[in-house]
Amino acid sequence: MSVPQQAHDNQGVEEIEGKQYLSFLLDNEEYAIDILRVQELRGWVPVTRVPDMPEYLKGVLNLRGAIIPVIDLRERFSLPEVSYSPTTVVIVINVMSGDTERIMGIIVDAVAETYVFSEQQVQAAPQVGGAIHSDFITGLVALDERMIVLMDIDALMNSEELSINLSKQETEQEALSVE
Amino acid sequence: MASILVVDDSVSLRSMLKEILSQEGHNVLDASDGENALDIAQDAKFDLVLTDVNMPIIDGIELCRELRQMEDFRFTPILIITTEATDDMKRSGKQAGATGWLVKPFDPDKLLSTVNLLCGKPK
Amino acid sequence: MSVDLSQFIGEFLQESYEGLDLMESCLLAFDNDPEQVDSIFRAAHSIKGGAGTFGFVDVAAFTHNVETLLDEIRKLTIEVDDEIINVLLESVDILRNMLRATEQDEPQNTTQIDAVSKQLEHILALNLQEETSNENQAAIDHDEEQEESLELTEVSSLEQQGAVIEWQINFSPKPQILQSGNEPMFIFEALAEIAPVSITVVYDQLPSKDQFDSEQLYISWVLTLNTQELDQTTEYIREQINEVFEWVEDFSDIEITPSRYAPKNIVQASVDLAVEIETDTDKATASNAAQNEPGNENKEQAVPQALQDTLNDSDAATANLVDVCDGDPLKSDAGKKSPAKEADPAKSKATKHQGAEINSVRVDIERLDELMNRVGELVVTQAMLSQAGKEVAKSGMHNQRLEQGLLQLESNTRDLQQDVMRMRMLPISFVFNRYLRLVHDISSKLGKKVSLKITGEQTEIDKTVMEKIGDPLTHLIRNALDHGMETSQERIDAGKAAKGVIALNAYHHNGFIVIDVIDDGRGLNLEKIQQKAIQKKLIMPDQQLSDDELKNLIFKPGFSTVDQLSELSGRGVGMDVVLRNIESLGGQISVDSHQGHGTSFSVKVPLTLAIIEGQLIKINEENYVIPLVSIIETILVKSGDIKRLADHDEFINYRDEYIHLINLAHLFSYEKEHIDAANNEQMELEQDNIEEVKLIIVVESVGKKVGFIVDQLAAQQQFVVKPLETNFKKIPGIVGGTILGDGSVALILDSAGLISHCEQLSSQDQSDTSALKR
Repeated sequence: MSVPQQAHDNQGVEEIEGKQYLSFLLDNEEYAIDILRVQELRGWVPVTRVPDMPEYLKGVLNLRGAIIPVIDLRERFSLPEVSYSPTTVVIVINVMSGDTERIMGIIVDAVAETYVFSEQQVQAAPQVGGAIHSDFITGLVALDERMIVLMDIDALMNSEELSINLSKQETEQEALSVE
Repeated sequence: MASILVVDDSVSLRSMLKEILSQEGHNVLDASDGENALDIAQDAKFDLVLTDVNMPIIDGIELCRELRQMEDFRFTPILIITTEATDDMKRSGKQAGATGWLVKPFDPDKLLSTVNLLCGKPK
Repeated sequence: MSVDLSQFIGEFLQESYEGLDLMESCLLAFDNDPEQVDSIFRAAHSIKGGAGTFGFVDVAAFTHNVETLLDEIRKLTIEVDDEIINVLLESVDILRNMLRATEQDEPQNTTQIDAVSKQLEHILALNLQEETSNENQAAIDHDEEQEESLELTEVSSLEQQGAVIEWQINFSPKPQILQSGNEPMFIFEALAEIAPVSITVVYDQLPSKDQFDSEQLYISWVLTLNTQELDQTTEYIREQINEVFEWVEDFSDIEITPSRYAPKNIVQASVDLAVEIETDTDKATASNAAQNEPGNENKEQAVPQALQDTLNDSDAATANLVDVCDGDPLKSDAGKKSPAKEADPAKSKATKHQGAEINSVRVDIERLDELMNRVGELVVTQAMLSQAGKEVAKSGMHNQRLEQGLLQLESNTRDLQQDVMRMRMLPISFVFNRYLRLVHDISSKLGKKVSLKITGEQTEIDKTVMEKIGDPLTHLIRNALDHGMETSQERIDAGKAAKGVIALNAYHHNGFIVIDVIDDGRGLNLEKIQQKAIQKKLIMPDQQLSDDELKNLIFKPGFSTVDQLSELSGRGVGMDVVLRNIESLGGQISVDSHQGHGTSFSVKVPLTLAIIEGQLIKINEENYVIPLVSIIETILVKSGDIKRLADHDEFINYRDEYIHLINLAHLFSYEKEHIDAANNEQMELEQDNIEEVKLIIVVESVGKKVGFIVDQLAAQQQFVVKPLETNFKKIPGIVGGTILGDGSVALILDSAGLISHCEQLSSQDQSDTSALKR
C-alpha cells in the first residue's frame, strides 16, 4: 500500500492554495490529517504488548529497525471495538512533541481519500459533541453531504499516556515513591 | 618552489606551518621530533629545515648540530623556531650551526619572507 | 596571505588539553625527575607558542608566567615543594578553563586568573631576591642594551641632517659563511625587496686555482640601496636592513652607512651633496675597502638601475661567480633541483615513520553510533535469515551452499559487530587518571594523607559507558576520602600506616567490566547504620537484619551516616544516586566492609550500552529479555516448595534465604482469566498431589534477591538495545526493546526497577517477612 500522491482534481484552481489531507474512516466517520505527516501505510500485523499501558496503546512494532508505538484510535476515543481485519490499516505518522519528532502508528478502519482543502473551506470546530474532544480537532470541512473532521495529530498523540512530559513526571514520582 | 622539512612536536603548529608553506607552493615534509627528522633526513634532501627548539629526546639545537654533520645538510639553511630569541638562545643556535631563528608567534607573511630570504623567491 | 589560521585552532585546543592532562599527571606524580620537569615544561611551552600564534593573547600571557616558573625549576634555581605543585596544578586548571572559555567564546574568569598569576609572580619574585648570581648576567644584558641605544643615537643624529636616501653596505662574509646555510644571493634579493639595489662585486681575494676550496666564499660585495622613493623613516629603513643581515653578522664584516641625504632645500643641495660625497668616500674606504683600493681595476662599479634590472644584475653577478667557484650548494644540482624530485621516496619514508599519527583518524562519535546502529540492523537481518534457513532445512530441502553461506554470514556479522564495538572502546585510564588529582586535592583539603593506587587502567570500555561511569566513581572516591579515611593520627593510633590507600582496580569479567573502589579506612559502622536507618524510618526498630542487609541500607534514598553533610560529598547526593546512575547503565554495585579495615565497592557495568547479554524468556507466549548482569541462576522449583503468605505473597527458600517470588505474568497484568484459570488448574493439580514444577529466574540488585516466575526459557544471546523513548517514552521497569530474528519486538526488562517495584509492594508485609526469617 502506498500513499496516493495525486490529489483529486475536484478542487480546481484552489488546489494551489490549499493544503493536502489524507482521510480515513473510524466508526463510519471520516477524519483527515495533514498528508505531510503521513510517512507510510501498513496493513495490521500483531504488535508486542507493553505492560501497564492503557488499552488503546496496542504495543510496539518494528518499522525497519525502529521501534514505534501503535495506537488504536477507536479505543482511544472509546468507540465500539471491532476485531482487526485485513483492511485494518496502520497509518505511520510523524508527530511533533515539542522539538522532538516521533514516529508513531495509528490503527484506523480504512483509508478513504486524499483532498485539498483551502482555508476558506475549513470551519471552526464545535465546542461540544462528537466522539472526539474538540482539543484534538482543528476544524471541519463540509463536502457534498458529508462532514470531514480535521484532526490535530500533534495534540492527540501528546495527550495522556502518550505525552513525553507526562511520562517524565510520572517516572520522577515513581522514583520518589520507591521504598 | 623549495623543499622544506618542518620539525615540531605540536601537531597544530606543524600542520599550520605545512599549510602556509604548501599554499605558497613549497614541498613540505614534517617530522614530529628531532629523532623523526633525522630519520627523514637520511633519505631526503631539503632546501630548508624549520625546527622547533623544545622537543622530546632530540631538541632543535641538537638536531641542528646533527644535521650539520650530514653531508647533505652542511649548507642547508636551518631555521630555529622559538618563543624567545634570547642572546643565549641565539648563541647556542649559531654554535650548533643554525642559520637563523623565527620568533613565535610569527605571522604567516613574516614566515614567508624569511623562507624567501633563505631559499629565494618562488618563481 | 590567504591561509586561514582558524582551521588549526581545534587541533591546537585538543593538543593543549592533552598537554594539560600530561602536566597534571606529571605534577601529581612529581619526584624531581629532570625528564618529568622537561615534559611539563615542554607542554607549557607548546601551549604558549600555539596560543600566541592563534592570537589567544591572554592564554599566552598566563602561560608565560607558568613557563618562567617551570624554567627556573628546570634550571634548579627553585626547589619544588607542595606549594609550588599546588600553584602549578591550579595553573593547569586555569589554563583548561581559559582554553574552554576561548573555545566557547565565553568571557575569561579574570579574578581567578589574576589570583593565580599573582601567586606565580610572588614565587618568582621571592626567587629573584635569593638569586644573586643572576646579577652578573643582568649587568651584561644591561651593557648590550646600552650599546643598542648608542646605535639609535647615531641614527637620530643622522636624521638631523635630513632623510637618508641612499645606503652603502659593505658586506664581507667570512669564507665559511656557506656552512651556516646562508646564501648571499637571497640576502640581496631580500634587500631588493626593500628598495632598488646596485651591487658591486669585490673578488680580489680569490685564491689561485690549486688553493681554491669550493666550499669557501672568497668574494665580498658593496651594495648601494636607493631608498629615495621610500616613504619611511630612516630609523625604520635601517631596522629593515639590519634585519636582512641579522643572521650573517657573526659570519661577516658588515658596515651599513647612510651614503646620501635628502637635500634640506634646493639652495643647500650642492653643499649637502658635497658633504655626502665626502662621507661616502670616508665610509667606503674605512674597512676592507681600503685594501681593495690599490687594486682598483678589480672593482667593478655597477650602474644603479630599476628594481627588476637590479635583480637581474645581481643574478648575473652571482652567475659569473658560479662559473668560477662551483661551490654554491644551493645552485648546484645536489642542493637545489634534486630535493624536489627525490621528495617522493622521502615522503613514503616519513609516512612510515610517523605511522602512529597518520594511521589514525579522528571520527565523530555520532558517526560511530550510526555505524553501530547499522550493524545492529545487520545483526537482526542476519538472525532473520538464519531462522529462515533453518525453516527451509526443516522442510527437508537441504541446500549446502545456503547453509554454509548463512553460517559464514553469522560469523562475519558477529566479527563486524565486535570490531565496531571495539572502535568505541577506550582504556578506562581516561577516567581513572582524573582521580589522581581528586584524591590529591581533597585529601590535602581534609588534612588526611591518602594515596591512590590504580591498576587495570588499560581495561577498555565503551566511550558512552565511560562518560557515565565517571560521576558515580567520583562520588565513591569522595565518600571514601571524606567518610572512610581516618586522619593520620587516628590511623597511627589504630596501628595502621599513617598514609591511607584507596585502590582503584578495573578488570573484565564475563563480558562486563568490574571496577573496584577499595579503601583501607575505618569501614562501615553497622550499628550506626542501623540506628540511622531506624531514625530515618527506613527500618522498624525491632527489625532483624543481616550484616549484608545493613550494609546495603546505605543505598537507600535519604540515608547518610554523617550528621552534617560535608561540603565535599555534596549536599543531597547520596549513595542512592550512585546506585541509580549505575543501574541506569544496566550495571550493579555491591559493597563489602570490615570495621576497622576498610570498605570496598564493586561496580559492574556492561562494556557497551548498545548491546546487552540477555536471556530470552516467554511470559504468556510473549518474548521478553532479562539482562544477564542481574541473573544469578535459573532454578526449577516444585510448587510444594513455594511458601505463601497472606494469600498473595510467594516465597521460596533459596540458599538458606527466603526470597520473594514475582509472577511476571501477574505483574504485567496478562488476561486475568488466563492466570486465574492457570491458578485453579494448579490448585487442582496440587490437590491431586501431582507436583507441578515452576521455572524461576533468580535475580539480584543491591544485595536484594528476587525470583521471577516465567513460563519458558529461550536463547541466551546478545541483543541490540533500542531505547523506547526514541519514538515513544521511557517506561519504568523496561530498559528498551530489541528486534528478534523473526522481526518482532521483544522488551528488555529492567531487573533492578522491577525488584524495587516489588520491594514497594511487599513493604507492607515487612513484619511478616522478618517473622518468616526467624
